[in-house]
Amino acid sequence: MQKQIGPRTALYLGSLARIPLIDDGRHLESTLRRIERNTAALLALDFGEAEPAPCFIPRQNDVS
Amino acid sequence: MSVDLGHLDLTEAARLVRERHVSPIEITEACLARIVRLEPDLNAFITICGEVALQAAGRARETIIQGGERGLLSSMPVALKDLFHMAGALTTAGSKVLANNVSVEDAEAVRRLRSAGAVFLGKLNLHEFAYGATGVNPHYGVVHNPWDIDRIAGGSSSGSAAAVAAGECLASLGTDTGGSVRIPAALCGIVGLKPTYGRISRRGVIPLSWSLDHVGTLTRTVRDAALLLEAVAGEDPGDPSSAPQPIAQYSRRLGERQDLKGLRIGKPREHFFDHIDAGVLRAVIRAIEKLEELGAEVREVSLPHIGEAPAAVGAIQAPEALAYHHRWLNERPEDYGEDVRGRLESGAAYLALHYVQAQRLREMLIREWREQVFDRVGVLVAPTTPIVATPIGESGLAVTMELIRLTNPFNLAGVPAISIPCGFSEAGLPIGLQLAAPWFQEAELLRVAHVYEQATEWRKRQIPILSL
Repeated sequence: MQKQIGPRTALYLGSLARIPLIDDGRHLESTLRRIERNTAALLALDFGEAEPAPCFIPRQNDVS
Repeated sequence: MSVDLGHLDLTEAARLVRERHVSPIEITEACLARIVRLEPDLNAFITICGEVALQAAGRARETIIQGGERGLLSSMPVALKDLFHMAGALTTAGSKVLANNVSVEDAEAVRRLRSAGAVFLGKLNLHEFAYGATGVNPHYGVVHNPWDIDRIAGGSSSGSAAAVAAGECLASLGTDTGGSVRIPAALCGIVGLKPTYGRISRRGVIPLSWSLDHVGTLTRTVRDAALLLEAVAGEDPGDPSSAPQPIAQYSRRLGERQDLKGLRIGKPREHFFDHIDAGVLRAVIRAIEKLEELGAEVREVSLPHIGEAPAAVGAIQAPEALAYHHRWLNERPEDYGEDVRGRLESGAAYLALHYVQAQRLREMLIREWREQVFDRVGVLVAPTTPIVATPIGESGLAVTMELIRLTNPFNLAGVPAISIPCGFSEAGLPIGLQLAAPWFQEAELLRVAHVYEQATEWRKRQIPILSL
């Protein structure tokens, strides 16, 4: 079910991140909905025992 | 001898200079003349260093006259995306935030180019802070596509691609976090190489997203990409992500074989061929048939979880970008363009959960590609972009999201990928073919791209604006 994110939540996120928001957070409100849509499949994945990739990966992946 | 920049590539120009058929000053002057003529239409440069470039070319000429060695790039005029620090020059990142930022030292890649004999013509326009794929910049103006100046050049290395395509410089450096070298290269009809993560130092390059950023090259030909990579690649102890793997003599390796016999090329079953513009798809399918004619065996491969890769890139990129910009965004938000400010704000909307799960997906994807893809095929093939260059007025966030869809999975995996011209749309707009190889296999990637390029004529088509 699609959750509705209100302007107060959006403003709170801006406040939490300590950044002034465009348009009093209305932009962030629609962004939140887009992120929710885009990441639904990602969050639903079965990750098994996979650990997060280290940020700096080349030494891990040398197949040469 | 007069210098015709219409078809001249970096490798050929360097040979002409080495053999004293032309002087470094003539080549530099020819580029500067192009800049004067075309910049009103293209807007590829933010800063032009004409006088400094001519002085450097003059010093190079003296060295050559005295029989001295000028390095791999033999006084070749190149330019830099305005994210690269260059001592004494403005480095704006295409933003009002850094409008007065003068660099105190060279980025490591710039230092290596300088050591190889390059002459710097200036700093190139880009999508603000490299955070977008259209090159529509509210502070320094839109970069126009040389093939149709009413259309975008792609981005974020927009000026880097437009300037090389139009012969304003012979090569350029760009950065690629989700496709920002390959996308503009495809839309402007040139070659864009994103090497393996860690292959070229990022030190001295303003970041967008540390764990996804790659330095890359934009050139007219694959052999130029090989030459430029040879000049700038290699370990840098000052960059924590720099890789210690030895670099090859990439340009020499190109000539090893002229066919693709024995090569297995993987055509992804998922994601990369979904929802592609009909003209782009036709050109890419023809290119794949050409690869088969050249001796390659093309087989379908499955890339599990690839559909989630773009979302994972977003979940990593946005929070990392916000982390870098946090202080400026808090103190001077009005100095950002609205689209980039909005994208940075989105970094606050991602949860830590999204970021960590995206990094877990990254690990899964890398393991799957290593164990199930690159053990079966040597190279992957796909379109670079699902669409051609769009009209400037129709190039908002939706276009950026569409443009990066086929390139950003390779940033997530960190493998080398290249875009090479493979045809034109009915409207005469360039189309890019994307090839990717296993980690640190740039030599083989470049060889395959070179064999295809030499067997086709796409690079020889003249840009209409140049014949006016």
